[in-house]
Amino acid sequence: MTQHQPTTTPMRGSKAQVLSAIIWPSFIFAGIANSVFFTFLEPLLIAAELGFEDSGTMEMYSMGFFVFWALTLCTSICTQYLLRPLHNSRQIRRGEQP
Amino acid sequence: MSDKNDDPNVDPNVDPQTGQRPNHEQRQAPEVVQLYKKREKIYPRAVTGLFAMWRKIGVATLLGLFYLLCWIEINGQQILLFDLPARKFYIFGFTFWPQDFFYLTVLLIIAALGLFFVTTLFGRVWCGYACPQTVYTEIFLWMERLTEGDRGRQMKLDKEPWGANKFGRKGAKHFLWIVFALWTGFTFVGYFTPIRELGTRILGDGSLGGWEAWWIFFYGFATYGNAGWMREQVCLYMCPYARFQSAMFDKDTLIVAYDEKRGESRGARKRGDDHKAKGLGDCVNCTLCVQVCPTGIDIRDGLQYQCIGCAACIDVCDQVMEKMDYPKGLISYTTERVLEEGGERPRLLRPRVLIYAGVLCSVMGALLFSVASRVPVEMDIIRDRHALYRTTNIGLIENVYTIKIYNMDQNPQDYTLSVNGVETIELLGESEFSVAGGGALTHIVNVRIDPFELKKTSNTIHFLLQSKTNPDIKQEEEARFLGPAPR
Repeated sequence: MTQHQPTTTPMRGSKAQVLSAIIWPSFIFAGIANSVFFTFLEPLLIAAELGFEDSGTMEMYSMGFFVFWALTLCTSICTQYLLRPLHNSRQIRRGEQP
Repeated sequence: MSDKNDDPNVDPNVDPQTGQRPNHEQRQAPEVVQLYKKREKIYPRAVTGLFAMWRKIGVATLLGLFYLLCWIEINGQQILLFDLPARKFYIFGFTFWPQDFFYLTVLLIIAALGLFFVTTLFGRVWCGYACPQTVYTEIFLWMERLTEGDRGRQMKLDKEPWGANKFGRKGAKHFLWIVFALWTGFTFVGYFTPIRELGTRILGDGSLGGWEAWWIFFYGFATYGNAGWMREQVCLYMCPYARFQSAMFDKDTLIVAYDEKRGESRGARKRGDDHKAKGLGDCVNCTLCVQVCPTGIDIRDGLQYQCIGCAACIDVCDQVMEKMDYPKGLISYTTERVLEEGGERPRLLRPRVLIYAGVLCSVMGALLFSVASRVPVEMDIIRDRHALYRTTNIGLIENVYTIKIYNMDQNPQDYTLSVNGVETIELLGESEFSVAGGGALTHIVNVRIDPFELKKTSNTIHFLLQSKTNPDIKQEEEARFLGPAPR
């Protein structure tokens, strides 16, 4: 009757593992992207272009970092979402083996 | 008797006894499926000993450097400052610009190769003694023990209902953690904006920029979260090095290992018992090695990826061995080869070690050479995009360029600008500039060419910038010169 028993082994690592796998790599690569971006482009010129006249270099670096982080976060979340096991949760609740 | 379910023709959903399908209620049995693994809190016991002392030295040195370096100034200049507002990086008397990003990349490659090299030789010493995660966790554990006591007391406190004692101790712990984390955040931001000014802005006029405050809190929060709460989970789930370090291991790499031949079979005994007669090995099964482990593993199960090589288990086991009058080193730094084949010392000179050393030395040499031969001037040329070209009243073709000169030298320089590449080419306006040390200058120049010499619509010309005092300081840049279609 093994097929009627619900699976008891966790499907994935802990929540901390899933969250870390999303937040941490995206953070690192946002930092790299930000450094490369502002190496080649002058932050103050971009500030002027976008109409942020009050923004200094520090502000532009910070904002740039968060824009990049938002993008890389989206990428990580998508990847994590697509990596979820393919069988649906109702099957699992019914106790069928995936 | 064979299991009916092995027969592919039998519907597994049909109950073999009653021959009926389970109804909807039964199928929706309220069985909770655990999608996530639950984390059990680890209470590492405090440990003393040789390796614990080395770790303390590591912690004191590295944290000392981090918290003090930013306060040291030479000639009024912070010696280590990645000045983001000014886009200049001051590193021990050198000034680097964003254009020098290349050096930073090479420096990171060197750091990575160095890590590989050390890993091959000594295993995870980086993890055990120098990694910021270890260093900060060590400090946070120390504060935790200061307020909550050691392992046993902490476990008791966590089981206790909330009362004055628990509230006071936990509150004190978090207070210490938060103050330390905020100071860490402040120090971190102090490497990107001059720290003395930052300090004055916080204490004095309250003109602290929103972003600066935000980064202090952000980095403080990251420190608090990673060293206070996440701890070993950072090593397990977030650290890529922890995952791939095994690729650098071979049989001669130093690892923390339990001598199974000597230790088994483990078991309790009285001091002075003839354990060999009882058929016992040297392991007294006191489980102290498990209690001190910051990642909560049992080293006696063999080499595990969770092991950060901190050697806390070596220290504590040696103390037990001493008490039992057994030789030390039941758990020790050793190599797989020594464990399997016996023998004395681990081999150091192996092909893998030599290859890493060779690559490391050549990259370092290349970096030194390129820093030494770095020309401290940089020139950017941007063609005026508003017009392709202009014809002057005597029929010459004119292009306009914006020239940006960065003097990366500490001293002021006088430069001469010239242009060549096509016959009759002529530079109009100023051609001599003087730029302060570490300064930049933007200038607009006009270049004229007789259209008779232009064989194409787009022509390559070269700008040459040369220092008057030191002709070795020069830079040549290519640019496009546009003209009418040749007749």
